Amino acid sequence: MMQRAILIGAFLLAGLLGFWLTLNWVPGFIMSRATERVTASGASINLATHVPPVDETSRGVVRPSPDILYSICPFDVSDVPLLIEVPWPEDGSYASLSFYDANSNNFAVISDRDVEADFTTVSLAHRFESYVPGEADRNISSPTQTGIALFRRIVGASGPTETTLQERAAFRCGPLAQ
Amino acid sequence: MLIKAGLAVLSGLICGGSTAAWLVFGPMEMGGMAVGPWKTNLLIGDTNADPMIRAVVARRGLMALNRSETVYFDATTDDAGRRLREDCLYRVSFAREPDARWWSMTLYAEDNFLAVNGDNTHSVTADHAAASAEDPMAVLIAASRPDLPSYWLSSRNSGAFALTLRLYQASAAITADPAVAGLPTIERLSCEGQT
Repeated sequence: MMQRAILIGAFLLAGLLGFWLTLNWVPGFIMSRATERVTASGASINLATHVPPVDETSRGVVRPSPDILYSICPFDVSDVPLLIEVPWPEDGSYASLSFYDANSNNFAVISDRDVEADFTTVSLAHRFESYVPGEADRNISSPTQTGIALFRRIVGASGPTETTLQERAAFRCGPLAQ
Repeated sequence: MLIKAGLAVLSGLICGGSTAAWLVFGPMEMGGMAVGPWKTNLLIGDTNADPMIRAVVARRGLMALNRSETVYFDATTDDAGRRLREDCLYRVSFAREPDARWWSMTLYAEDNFLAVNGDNTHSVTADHAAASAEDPMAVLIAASRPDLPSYWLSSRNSGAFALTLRLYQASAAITADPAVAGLPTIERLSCEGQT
């Protein structure tokens, strides 16, 4: 009887552990698959890629918005911090730069509402004690060495204009010179 | 005994892991609270969200923003609780525009991507509402363009589709309590073979 209770208890505890471990593993797994898809479609680590306007052929990330222009910077700051340059829309449209760690957590976001200038520089590092920031307007610390920085910019009902695309092209990211 | 215990642990791990994977990749929705047919969870994009929410968000809305930037509402049923289907005609009525800096409503096919149909009418936004002569604005959802004047979203090739309403920088009242958002109604007008 005792032996049976122990076996049932072990099964239930292991079940809970398996449930919890799987739930915690899924976001990292999906994020790594998304990063693989993004890089396979031409994006480079620590470089900005300006994603073409979303249409029905877009398959990089689930539920893309056709009303947003995206630029993406998959990052790996294990060796060197990043410097990200963000142009805010001149026409007053919503735009934001959001950061996702390797487990898909949205650990930081800056929008045009948070700044006064029309251009912002952001440094991103895994641990700020490893260097002295000072090159950028904002300094952000990533909980993980890898992740994705995503720039969003709303486009009007008639789609992106040439001006909008040129403006967006000023979004850049690259290793921060130390 | 040791072998039996090992087998119990192993089968427990497999059962627990399989159950979690089935929930996340299967029926589990992001919804935390319902406002009519619309569901939202204010913990989307929040680093304090529990593992289940984070896993489901990763599956269904990877790289979502937190509520200070965007409040997301998803609908997979009409006002009467019936599953949204591409072979039915729906009217989505905005009694008033959402109190947000900007908003959009997008139709996603069963696979969580834009429907592949060549119709190029996947979403409606605050810009369309501003240009609309209708007050309040109504949107028709159907597999082919209806012979009615309202703005049309195409559901062709979308199967059992979903609607996502994004409120960018919503008012403080909405981020505190999404129930006050005044969301649009989703009315099924007819289905193929029925009136």
